[in-house]
Amino acid sequence: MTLAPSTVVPMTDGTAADAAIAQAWDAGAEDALERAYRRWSPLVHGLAARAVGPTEAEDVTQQVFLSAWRRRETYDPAQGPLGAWLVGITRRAVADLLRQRHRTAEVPSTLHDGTAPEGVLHDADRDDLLALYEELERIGDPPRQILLLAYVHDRTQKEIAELLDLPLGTVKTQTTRTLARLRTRMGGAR
Amino acid sequence: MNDELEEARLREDRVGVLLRRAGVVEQPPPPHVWEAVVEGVRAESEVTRLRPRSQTSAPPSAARPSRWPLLLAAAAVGALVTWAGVELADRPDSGLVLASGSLAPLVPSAPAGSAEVVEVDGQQRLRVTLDEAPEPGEGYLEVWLLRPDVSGLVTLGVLEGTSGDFLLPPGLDLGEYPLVDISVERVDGDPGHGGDSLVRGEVG
Repeated sequence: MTLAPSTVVPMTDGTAADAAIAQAWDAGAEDALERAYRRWSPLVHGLAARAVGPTEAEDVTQQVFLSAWRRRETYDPAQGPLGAWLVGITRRAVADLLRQRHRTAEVPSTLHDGTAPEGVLHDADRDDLLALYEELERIGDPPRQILLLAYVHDRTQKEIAELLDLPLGTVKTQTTRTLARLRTRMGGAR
Repeated sequence: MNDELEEARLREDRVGVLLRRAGVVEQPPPPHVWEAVVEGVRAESEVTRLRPRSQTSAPPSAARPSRWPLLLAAAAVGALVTWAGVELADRPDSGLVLASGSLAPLVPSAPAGSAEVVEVDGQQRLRVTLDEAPEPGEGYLEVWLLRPDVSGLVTLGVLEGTSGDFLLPPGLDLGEYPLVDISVERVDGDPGHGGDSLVRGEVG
């Protein structure tokens, strides 16, 4: 069984590193914005790209980190990990942009036919996907990793158990439990 | 327990379907996005906050959102409120000052200045005074009021020289549009903000 090193981050290191960034952020450290950006901008940007397309994803990413930094004092570590907070801000930025698009679409001079560029999700799925990732960031590893390995990287439960060095029973239980929890987070825009 | 059946059941789950369809989500943004973030943070820290001298007729709402940096001005402007701005050349009465504060340059070549909301003959006006006349090149200077998040803006009119009075549209809430912005615009038929802000400050 081989797996590209990029697909699995050693969970303890990752979680501890994330917590350290969140701590720096909470303390208002000068380099906290850069560290948070380095850690979460691929996720924020990638989610935005899925939701609104590549061009506006850059605007959204920029907006999310500026907005997050501006109201950094409102981040409360007790309410959840920094990653979840940032994805939550991304979700709202995307929702605002889509609302705005809908408004401007009524202007007759707008010639776009509304077809989504390739790789961009349809309306019904956009918010659900962002909601899923927000919750996955909140849940953290290993459940997050288990779900992503199962559905994004197409691994069987048995393979995941081996990869993460967890008992098969644990993988199964966590998959079921996490799925149930994620399900409750969906269904906004259907 | 039939593992294959269980796997199949899990695959049908909408959560799984969605995660699968989206694939690997992480996608690093190009370097200029980070540069823009840095620029935004820097610009924001330079924006001078204006303090109202007395209560205006339109008090800021309690839940006022925080200010939004200038670099987003060019992008994603939502509701553009167009209003025929009138520069009032005559100034028989300097009026009662309702709010005031300073304007800070956003680019090195731009001057500093001040802005006041004055009431003259029952009408509210924005009075802008710059230390020097900016050089608009081939364009002209336009005065705007912005929402803090630049989700909307109202044009007040064209500024020539170092100062001007601009009638505030009746019903305009300065709490909603507290940022004074002076930009360089071109005569290109586009009524929107061109993104070249020279000076900015908060009033209202």
